[in-house]
Amino acid sequence: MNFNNMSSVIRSTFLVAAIGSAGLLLASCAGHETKDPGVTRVRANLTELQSDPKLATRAPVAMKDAADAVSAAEQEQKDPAATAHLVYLADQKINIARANAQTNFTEEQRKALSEQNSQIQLDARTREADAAKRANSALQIENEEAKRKSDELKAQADSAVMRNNQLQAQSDAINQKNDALQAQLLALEAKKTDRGMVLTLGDVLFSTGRSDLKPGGASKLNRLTTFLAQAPDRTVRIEGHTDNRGGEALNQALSQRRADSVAAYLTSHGIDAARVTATGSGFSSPIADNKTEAGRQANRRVEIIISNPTVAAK
Amino acid sequence: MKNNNVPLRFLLAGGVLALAACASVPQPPLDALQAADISVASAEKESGAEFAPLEMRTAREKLAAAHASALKKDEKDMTEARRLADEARADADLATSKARLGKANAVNQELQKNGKALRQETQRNTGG
Repeated sequence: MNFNNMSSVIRSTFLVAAIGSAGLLLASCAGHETKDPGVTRVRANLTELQSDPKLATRAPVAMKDAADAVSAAEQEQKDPAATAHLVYLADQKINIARANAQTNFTEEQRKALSEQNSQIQLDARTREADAAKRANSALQIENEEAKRKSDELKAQADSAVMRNNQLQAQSDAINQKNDALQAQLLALEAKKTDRGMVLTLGDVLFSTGRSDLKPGGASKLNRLTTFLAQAPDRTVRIEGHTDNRGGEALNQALSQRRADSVAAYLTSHGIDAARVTATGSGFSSPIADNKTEAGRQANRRVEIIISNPTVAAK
Repeated sequence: MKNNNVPLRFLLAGGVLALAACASVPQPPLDALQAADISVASAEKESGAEFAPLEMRTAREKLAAAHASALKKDEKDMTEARRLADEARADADLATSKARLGKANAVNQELQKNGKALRQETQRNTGG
Protein backbone atom coordinates (compact mmCIF):
# COMPACT_ATOMS: atom_id res chain seq x y z
CA MET A 1 0.00 0.00 0.00
CA ASN A 2 2.72 2.38 0.96
CA PHE A 3 4.60 1.75 -2.14
CA ASN A 4 1.49 2.26 -4.12
CA ASN A 5 0.79 5.55 -2.35
CA MET A 6 4.30 6.75 -3.08
CA SER A 7 4.09 6.02 -6.73
CA SER A 8 0.67 7.68 -6.97
CA VAL A 9 1.96 10.89 -5.40
CA ILE A 10 4.90 10.95 -7.77
CA ARG A 11 2.54 10.32 -10.70
CA SER A 12 0.26 13.19 -9.65
CA THR A 13 3.16 15.57 -9.40
CA PHE A 14 4.34 14.76 -12.90
CA LEU A 15 0.80 15.05 -14.26
CA VAL A 16 0.33 18.50 -12.79
CA ALA A 17 3.69 19.60 -14.13
CA ALA A 18 2.91 18.28 -17.58
CA ILE A 19 -0.48 19.91 -17.78
CA GLY A 20 0.92 23.11 -16.39
CA SER A 21 3.68 23.29 -18.95
CA ALA A 22 1.24 22.61 -21.82
CA GLY A 23 -1.18 25.20 -20.44
CA LEU A 24 1.57 27.79 -20.25
CA LEU A 25 2.61 27.13 -23.77
CA LEU A 26 -1.03 27.41 -24.97
CA ALA A 27 -1.53 30.62 -23.00
CA SER A 28 1.44 32.15 -24.82
CA CYS A 29 -0.56 31.77 -28.09
CA ALA A 30 -3.88 33.20 -26.81
CA GLY A 31 -4.76 36.93 -26.86
CA HIS A 32 -6.54 38.92 -24.24
CA GLU A 33 -10.30 38.90 -23.50
CA THR A 34 -11.40 42.34 -24.90
CA LYS A 35 -13.39 41.94 -28.12
CA ASP A 36 -12.29 43.53 -31.39
CA PRO A 37 -14.90 46.14 -32.58
CA GLY A 38 -14.82 44.58 -36.08
CA VAL A 39 -15.81 41.23 -34.62
CA THR A 40 -18.71 42.84 -32.77
CA ARG A 41 -19.79 44.56 -35.97
CA VAL A 42 -19.79 41.41 -38.18
CA ARG A 43 -21.74 39.50 -35.53
CA ALA A 44 -24.31 42.30 -35.48
CA ASN A 45 -24.47 42.35 -39.27
CA LEU A 46 -24.95 38.59 -39.37
CA THR A 47 -27.70 38.74 -36.73
CA GLU A 48 -29.45 41.47 -38.70
CA LEU A 49 -29.33 39.41 -41.89
CA GLN A 50 -30.50 36.28 -40.06
CA SER A 51 -33.49 38.12 -38.64
CA ASP A 52 -34.52 39.65 -41.98
CA PRO A 53 -37.71 37.72 -42.78
CA LYS A 54 -37.33 38.44 -46.48
CA LEU A 55 -33.75 37.14 -46.75
CA ALA A 56 -32.99 34.86 -43.75
CA THR A 57 -33.93 31.56 -45.39
CA ARG A 58 -33.23 32.31 -49.02
CA ALA A 59 -29.49 31.49 -49.32
CA PRO A 60 -28.84 28.75 -46.74
CA VAL A 61 -25.37 27.71 -47.98
CA ALA A 62 -23.96 31.22 -48.20
CA MET A 63 -25.61 31.99 -44.86
CA LYS A 64 -23.86 29.02 -43.24
CA ASP A 65 -20.53 30.16 -44.75
CA ALA A 66 -21.09 33.63 -43.33
CA ALA A 67 -21.98 32.26 -39.87
CA ASP A 68 -18.86 30.06 -39.90
CA ALA A 69 -16.73 33.02 -40.94
CA VAL A 70 -18.15 35.15 -38.10
CA SER A 71 -17.47 32.34 -35.61
CA ALA A 72 -13.90 32.05 -36.96
CA ALA A 73 -13.40 35.79 -36.52
CA GLU A 74 -14.58 35.48 -32.93
CA GLN A 75 -11.80 32.98 -32.12
CA GLU A 76 -8.99 34.57 -30.14
CA GLN A 77 -5.96 35.26 -32.32
CA LYS A 78 -2.38 36.07 -31.22
CA ASP A 79 -1.98 38.26 -34.26
CA PRO A 80 -4.33 41.29 -34.57
CA ALA A 81 -3.77 41.16 -38.34
CA ALA A 82 -5.28 37.65 -38.34
CA THR A 83 -8.41 38.97 -36.63
CA ALA A 84 -8.65 41.84 -39.10
CA HIS A 85 -8.31 39.35 -41.95
CA LEU A 86 -11.03 37.05 -40.53
CA VAL A 87 -13.31 40.03 -39.92
CA TYR A 88 -12.79 41.10 -43.54
CA LEU A 89 -13.67 37.61 -44.79
CA ALA A 90 -16.73 37.50 -42.53
CA ASP A 91 -17.83 40.89 -43.87
CA GLN A 92 -17.57 39.79 -47.48
CA LYS A 93 -19.32 36.46 -46.80
CA ILE A 94 -22.22 38.26 -45.12
CA ASN A 95 -22.39 40.52 -48.18
CA ILE A 96 -22.34 37.47 -50.45
CA ALA A 97 -25.08 35.78 -48.41
CA ARG A 98 -27.19 38.96 -48.58
CA ALA A 99 -26.68 39.35 -52.32
CA ASN A 100 -27.49 35.69 -52.97
CA ALA A 101 -30.60 35.87 -50.82
CA GLN A 102 -31.69 39.01 -52.66
CA THR A 103 -31.06 37.27 -55.98
CA ASN A 104 -33.19 34.33 -54.92
CA PHE A 105 -35.89 36.68 -53.67
CA THR A 106 -35.79 38.53 -56.99
CA GLU A 107 -36.06 35.26 -58.90
CA GLU A 108 -39.05 34.22 -56.80
CA GLN A 109 -40.66 37.56 -57.54
CA ARG A 110 -39.93 36.99 -61.21
CA LYS A 111 -42.12 33.90 -61.17
CA ALA A 112 -44.94 35.94 -59.70
CA LEU A 113 -44.36 38.71 -62.25
CA SER A 114 -44.38 36.26 -65.14
CA GLU A 115 -47.54 34.68 -63.83
CA GLN A 116 -49.05 38.12 -63.40
CA ASN A 117 -48.19 39.04 -66.98
CA SER A 118 -49.58 35.76 -68.26
CA GLN A 119 -52.70 36.37 -66.21
CA ILE A 120 -53.06 39.85 -67.71
CA GLN A 121 -52.74 38.38 -71.20
CA LEU A 122 -55.11 35.58 -70.35
CA ASP A 123 -57.63 38.01 -68.87
CA ALA A 124 -57.37 40.22 -71.92
CA ARG A 125 -57.93 37.25 -74.20
CA THR A 126 -60.83 36.04 -72.09
CA ARG A 127 -62.35 39.51 -72.18
CA GLU A 128 -61.88 39.72 -75.94
CA ALA A 129 -63.42 36.29 -76.39
CA ASP A 130 -66.33 37.20 -74.13
CA ALA A 131 -66.89 40.45 -76.00
CA ALA A 132 -66.77 38.60 -79.31
CA LYS A 133 -69.20 36.04 -77.98
CA ARG A 134 -71.51 38.76 -76.72
CA ALA A 135 -71.29 40.60 -80.05
CA ASN A 136 -71.90 37.33 -81.82
CA SER A 137 -74.99 36.44 -79.87
CA ALA A 138 -76.26 40.00 -80.29
CA LEU A 139 -75.73 39.62 -84.02
CA GLN A 140 -77.46 36.27 -83.94
CA ILE A 141 -80.43 37.77 -82.16
CA GLU A 142 -80.48 40.63 -84.66
CA ASN A 143 -80.25 38.15 -87.50
CA GLU A 144 -83.10 36.09 -86.16
CA GLU A 145 -85.15 39.23 -85.66
CA ALA A 146 -84.35 40.37 -89.18
CA LYS A 147 -85.22 36.95 -90.58
CA ARG A 148 -88.47 36.93 -88.65
CA LYS A 149 -89.33 40.41 -89.98
CA SER A 150 -88.33 39.39 -93.45
CA ASP A 151 -90.55 36.29 -93.25
CA GLU A 152 -93.38 38.44 -91.95
CA LEU A 153 -92.93 40.96 -94.76
CA LYS A 154 -92.76 38.15 -97.27
CA ALA A 155 -95.96 36.70 -95.91
CA GLN A 156 -97.56 40.13 -96.04
CA ALA A 157 -96.34 40.62 -99.58
CA ASP A 158 -97.66 37.18 -100.54
CA SER A 159 -101.04 37.89 -99.04
CA ALA A 160 -101.02 41.34 -100.65
CA VAL A 161 -100.30 39.77 -104.01
CA MET A 162 -103.00 37.22 -103.39
CA ARG A 163 -105.44 39.91 -102.33
CA ASN A 164 -104.41 42.00 -105.32
CA ASN A 165 -105.09 39.08 -107.59
CA GLN A 166 -108.45 38.61 -105.93
CA LEU A 167 -109.24 42.29 -106.30
CA GLN A 168 -108.02 42.21 -109.86
CA ALA A 169 -110.30 39.28 -110.53
CA GLN A 170 -113.17 41.08 -108.80
CA SER A 171 -112.35 44.22 -110.67
CA ASP A 172 -112.22 42.31 -113.92
CA ALA A 173 -115.54 40.73 -113.13
CA ILE A 174 -117.03 44.09 -112.22
CA ASN A 175 -115.57 45.70 -115.30
CA GLN A 176 -116.97 42.90 -117.35
CA LYS A 177 -120.34 43.38 -115.76
CA ASN A 178 -120.07 47.15 -116.15
CA ASP A 179 -119.16 46.72 -119.75
CA ALA A 180 -122.19 44.54 -120.19
CA LEU A 181 -124.41 47.06 -118.42
CA GLN A 182 -122.82 49.83 -120.38
CA ALA A 183 -123.67 48.02 -123.56
CA GLN A 184 -127.27 47.64 -122.35
CA LEU A 185 -127.41 51.34 -121.52
CA LEU A 186 -126.13 52.18 -124.96
CA ALA A 187 -128.79 49.95 -126.37
CA LEU A 188 -131.29 52.02 -124.39
CA GLU A 189 -129.81 55.05 -126.15
CA ALA A 190 -128.71 56.47 -122.86
CA LYS A 191 -126.29 59.39 -122.92
CA LYS A 192 -123.48 59.86 -120.55
CA THR A 193 -123.73 63.14 -118.62
CA ASP A 194 -122.21 64.43 -115.39
CA ARG A 195 -125.43 63.56 -113.59
CA GLY A 196 -125.10 59.95 -114.75
CA MET A 197 -126.56 58.15 -117.72
CA VAL A 198 -129.58 59.94 -119.07
CA LEU A 199 -132.17 58.05 -121.01
CA THR A 200 -134.57 60.28 -122.84
CA LEU A 201 -137.89 58.84 -123.76
CA GLY A 202 -139.72 60.92 -126.38
CA ASP A 203 -143.43 61.48 -126.54
CA VAL A 204 -143.89 57.85 -127.61
CA LEU A 205 -144.92 56.88 -124.07
CA PHE A 206 -147.96 59.06 -123.69
CA SER A 207 -150.80 60.47 -125.76
CA THR A 208 -151.27 64.22 -125.74
CA GLY A 209 -152.59 65.45 -122.41
CA ARG A 210 -152.64 61.98 -120.87
CA SER A 211 -150.46 60.34 -118.31
CA ASP A 212 -151.14 56.64 -118.78
CA LEU A 213 -148.51 54.68 -120.64
CA LYS A 214 -149.11 53.78 -124.23
CA PRO A 215 -148.67 50.08 -124.84
CA GLY A 216 -145.82 50.74 -127.31
CA GLY A 217 -143.75 52.58 -124.71
CA ALA A 218 -143.63 49.51 -122.49
CA SER A 219 -140.95 47.77 -124.53
CA LYS A 220 -138.46 50.55 -123.85
CA LEU A 221 -139.30 50.50 -120.14
CA ASN A 222 -138.99 46.75 -120.08
CA ARG A 223 -135.36 47.00 -121.15
CA LEU A 224 -134.79 49.59 -118.43
CA THR A 225 -136.35 47.29 -115.85
CA THR A 226 -134.09 44.45 -116.95
CA PHE A 227 -131.06 46.70 -116.66
CA LEU A 228 -132.01 47.96 -113.19
CA ALA A 229 -132.63 44.42 -111.99
CA GLN A 230 -129.04 43.56 -113.01
CA ALA A 231 -127.53 46.70 -111.47
CA PRO A 232 -129.02 46.82 -107.98
CA ASP A 233 -126.55 49.53 -106.86
CA ARG A 234 -127.98 52.11 -109.16
CA THR A 235 -130.89 54.43 -108.48
CA VAL A 236 -133.09 56.23 -110.97
CA ARG A 237 -134.56 59.67 -111.02
CA ILE A 238 -137.44 60.15 -113.32
CA GLU A 239 -138.17 63.67 -114.63
CA GLY A 240 -141.23 64.56 -116.61
CA HIS A 241 -140.97 67.45 -119.09
CA THR A 242 -143.51 69.16 -121.36
CA ASP A 243 -143.70 71.81 -124.08
CA ASN A 244 -144.99 75.25 -123.28
CA ARG A 245 -148.46 74.93 -124.62
CA GLY A 246 -151.15 75.16 -121.97
CA GLY A 247 -150.71 76.65 -118.52
CA GLU A 248 -147.74 76.20 -116.33
CA ALA A 249 -149.64 74.52 -113.50
CA LEU A 250 -151.26 72.16 -115.91
CA ASN A 251 -147.98 71.19 -117.47
CA GLN A 252 -146.34 70.85 -114.08
CA ALA A 253 -149.06 68.51 -112.86
CA LEU A 254 -149.01 66.59 -116.12
CA SER A 255 -145.26 66.12 -116.06
CA GLN A 256 -145.44 64.93 -112.43
CA ARG A 257 -148.15 62.46 -113.21
CA ARG A 258 -146.23 61.13 -116.20
CA ALA A 259 -143.09 60.71 -114.06
CA ASP A 260 -145.14 58.97 -111.39
CA SER A 261 -146.62 56.75 -114.03
CA VAL A 262 -143.18 55.61 -115.21
CA ALA A 263 -142.08 55.10 -111.57
CA ALA A 264 -145.19 53.03 -110.92
CA TYR A 265 -144.37 50.89 -113.94
CA LEU A 266 -140.85 50.25 -112.63
CA THR A 267 -141.93 49.40 -109.11
CA SER A 268 -144.68 47.17 -110.45
CA HIS A 269 -141.90 45.30 -112.34
CA GLY A 270 -139.81 44.45 -109.30
CA ILE A 271 -137.68 47.54 -108.79
CA ASP A 272 -137.46 48.65 -105.18
CA ALA A 273 -139.38 51.91 -104.71
CA ALA A 274 -136.52 53.27 -102.62
CA ARG A 275 -134.34 53.33 -105.76
CA VAL A 276 -136.85 55.36 -107.72
CA THR A 277 -137.72 59.05 -107.43
CA ALA A 278 -140.11 60.89 -109.71
CA THR A 279 -140.41 64.65 -110.28
CA GLY A 280 -142.34 66.84 -112.70
CA SER A 281 -140.47 69.74 -114.23
CA GLY A 282 -143.22 71.14 -116.46
CA PHE A 283 -141.69 73.21 -119.25
CA SER A 284 -138.94 74.67 -117.06
CA SER A 285 -136.11 72.70 -118.73
CA PRO A 286 -136.64 72.72 -122.49
CA ILE A 287 -133.98 71.07 -124.64
CA ALA A 288 -135.28 72.57 -127.91
CA ASP A 289 -137.13 75.59 -129.28
CA ASN A 290 -140.86 75.52 -128.38
CA LYS A 291 -141.71 77.72 -131.38
CA THR A 292 -141.49 74.86 -133.82
CA GLU A 293 -143.46 71.65 -133.79
CA ALA A 294 -140.25 69.58 -133.93
CA GLY A 295 -138.82 71.57 -130.99
CA ARG A 296 -142.00 71.11 -128.95
CA GLN A 297 -141.98 67.40 -129.71
CA ALA A 298 -138.43 67.14 -128.43
CA ASN A 299 -139.36 68.99 -125.27
CA ARG A 300 -142.19 66.62 -124.52
CA ARG A 301 -140.20 63.89 -122.91
CA VAL A 302 -139.41 61.81 -119.86
CA GLU A 303 -135.79 61.74 -118.75
CA ILE A 304 -134.59 58.82 -116.74
CA ILE A 305 -131.36 59.61 -114.99
CA ILE A 306 -129.49 56.49 -113.93
CA SER A 307 -126.98 57.20 -111.18
CA ASN A 308 -123.37 56.08 -111.58
CA PRO A 309 -122.52 53.04 -109.47
CA THR A 310 -121.85 54.20 -105.92
CA VAL A 311 -118.69 52.13 -105.61
CA ALA A 312 -116.51 51.73 -108.61
CA ALA A 313 -114.03 48.89 -108.14
CA LYS A 314 -110.60 49.66 -109.48
CA MET B 1 9.24 -0.11 -15.60
CA LYS B 2 5.76 0.57 -16.90
CA ASN B 3 5.08 3.27 -14.31
CA ASN B 4 8.18 5.23 -15.22
CA ASN B 5 7.11 5.66 -18.86
CA VAL B 6 3.81 7.41 -18.13
CA PRO B 7 5.07 10.91 -17.12
CA LEU B 8 7.51 10.90 -20.00
CA ARG B 9 4.70 10.24 -22.45
CA PHE B 10 2.67 13.18 -21.06
CA LEU B 11 5.63 15.49 -21.39
CA LEU B 12 6.17 14.53 -25.00
CA ALA B 13 2.48 14.91 -25.82
CA GLY B 14 2.35 18.36 -24.25
CA GLY B 15 5.37 19.51 -26.23
CA VAL B 16 3.97 18.28 -29.55
CA LEU B 17 0.66 20.06 -28.85
CA ALA B 18 2.48 23.26 -28.08
CA LEU B 19 4.53 23.08 -31.26
CA ALA B 20 1.48 22.30 -33.39
CA ALA B 21 -0.37 25.32 -31.99
CA CYS B 22 2.24 27.88 -33.03
CA ALA B 23 4.42 26.45 -35.75
CA SER B 24 3.94 26.10 -39.55
CA VAL B 25 6.26 25.03 -42.28
CA PRO B 26 6.76 27.80 -44.93
CA GLN B 27 4.98 26.45 -47.97
CA PRO B 28 3.32 28.58 -50.73
CA PRO B 29 -0.51 28.37 -50.23
CA LEU B 30 -1.12 26.84 -53.63
CA ASP B 31 -4.70 25.68 -52.84
CA ALA B 32 -5.76 29.16 -51.72
CA LEU B 33 -4.10 30.80 -54.74
CA GLN B 34 -5.72 28.38 -57.15
CA ALA B 35 -9.17 28.85 -55.59
CA ALA B 36 -8.76 32.63 -55.81
CA ASP B 37 -7.69 32.39 -59.48
CA ILE B 38 -10.84 30.40 -60.28
CA SER B 39 -13.12 32.78 -58.36
CA VAL B 40 -11.68 35.89 -60.08
CA ALA B 41 -11.96 34.27 -63.52
CA SER B 42 -15.57 33.26 -62.99
CA ALA B 43 -16.42 36.72 -61.58
CA GLU B 44 -15.01 38.21 -64.79
CA LYS B 45 -17.14 35.82 -66.82
CA GLU B 46 -20.24 36.93 -64.88
CA SER B 47 -19.57 40.59 -65.82
CA GLY B 48 -18.41 41.39 -62.28
CA ALA B 49 -16.54 44.46 -63.62
CA GLU B 50 -19.86 45.89 -64.80
CA PHE B 51 -21.99 45.18 -61.73
CA ALA B 52 -19.34 45.34 -58.93
CA PRO B 53 -16.35 47.32 -60.24
CA LEU B 54 -14.94 48.06 -56.75
CA GLU B 55 -14.93 44.41 -55.59
CA MET B 56 -13.51 43.32 -58.92
CA ARG B 57 -10.64 45.78 -58.66
CA THR B 58 -9.69 44.85 -55.10
CA ALA B 59 -9.97 41.15 -56.00
CA ARG B 60 -7.50 41.56 -58.87
CA GLU B 61 -5.11 43.70 -56.79
CA LYS B 62 -5.15 41.26 -53.87
CA LEU B 63 -4.73 38.25 -56.14
CA ALA B 64 -1.68 39.86 -57.75
CA ALA B 65 -0.25 40.73 -54.32
CA ALA B 66 -0.91 37.15 -53.12
CA HIS B 67 1.01 35.70 -56.05
CA ALA B 68 3.83 38.16 -55.39
CA SER B 69 4.00 37.20 -51.72
CA ALA B 70 3.96 33.50 -52.56
CA LEU B 71 7.15 33.96 -54.57
CA LYS B 72 8.99 34.99 -51.39
CA LYS B 73 10.36 32.34 -49.04
CA ASP B 74 9.62 33.70 -45.59
CA GLU B 75 6.95 32.05 -43.46
CA LYS B 76 5.33 35.43 -42.79
CA ASP B 77 5.07 36.03 -46.53
CA MET B 78 3.31 32.70 -46.99
CA THR B 79 0.76 33.66 -44.30
CA GLU B 80 0.28 37.01 -46.04
CA ALA B 81 -0.10 35.26 -49.40
CA ARG B 82 -2.80 32.94 -48.04
CA ARG B 83 -4.71 35.80 -46.43
CA LEU B 84 -4.55 37.91 -49.59
CA ALA B 85 -5.65 34.97 -51.71
CA ASP B 86 -8.59 34.23 -49.39
CA GLU B 87 -9.65 37.88 -49.41
CA ALA B 88 -9.28 38.09 -53.20
CA ARG B 89 -11.51 35.03 -53.48
CA ALA B 90 -14.11 36.53 -51.13
CA ASP B 91 -14.05 39.80 -53.12
CA ALA B 92 -14.42 37.95 -56.42
CA ASP B 93 -17.24 35.77 -55.06
CA LEU B 94 -19.02 38.91 -53.86
CA ALA B 95 -18.57 40.47 -57.30
CA THR B 96 -20.15 37.35 -58.84
CA SER B 97 -23.09 37.50 -56.42
CA LYS B 98 -23.63 41.20 -57.10
CA ALA B 99 -23.48 40.62 -60.85
CA ARG B 100 -26.12 37.88 -60.61
CA LEU B 101 -28.30 40.10 -58.45
CA GLY B 102 -27.91 42.96 -60.92
CA LYS B 103 -28.93 40.76 -63.82
CA ALA B 104 -31.88 39.31 -61.90
CA ASN B 105 -33.05 42.83 -61.07
CA ALA B 106 -32.72 43.89 -64.70
CA VAL B 107 -34.86 40.95 -65.81
CA ASN B 108 -37.49 41.80 -63.20
CA GLN B 109 -37.55 45.44 -64.25
CA GLU B 110 -38.06 44.34 -67.84
CA LEU B 111 -40.91 42.08 -66.76
CA GLN B 112 -42.48 44.87 -64.73
CA LYS B 113 -42.21 47.20 -67.70
CA ASN B 114 -43.82 44.59 -69.94
CA GLY B 115 -46.58 44.01 -67.40
CA LYS B 116 -47.29 47.72 -67.23
CA ALA B 117 -47.40 47.98 -71.01
CA LEU B 118 -49.68 44.95 -71.21
CA ARG B 119 -52.01 46.35 -68.60
CA GLN B 120 -52.19 49.70 -70.40
CA GLU B 121 -52.84 47.96 -73.70
CA THR B 122 -55.61 45.77 -72.33
CA GLN B 123 -57.17 48.76 -70.59
CA ARG B 124 -57.10 50.66 -73.87
CA ASN B 125 -58.69 47.72 -75.66
CA THR B 126 -61.36 47.32 -73.04
CA GLY B 127 -62.00 51.06 -72.83
CA GLY B 128 -62.03 51.56 -76.61
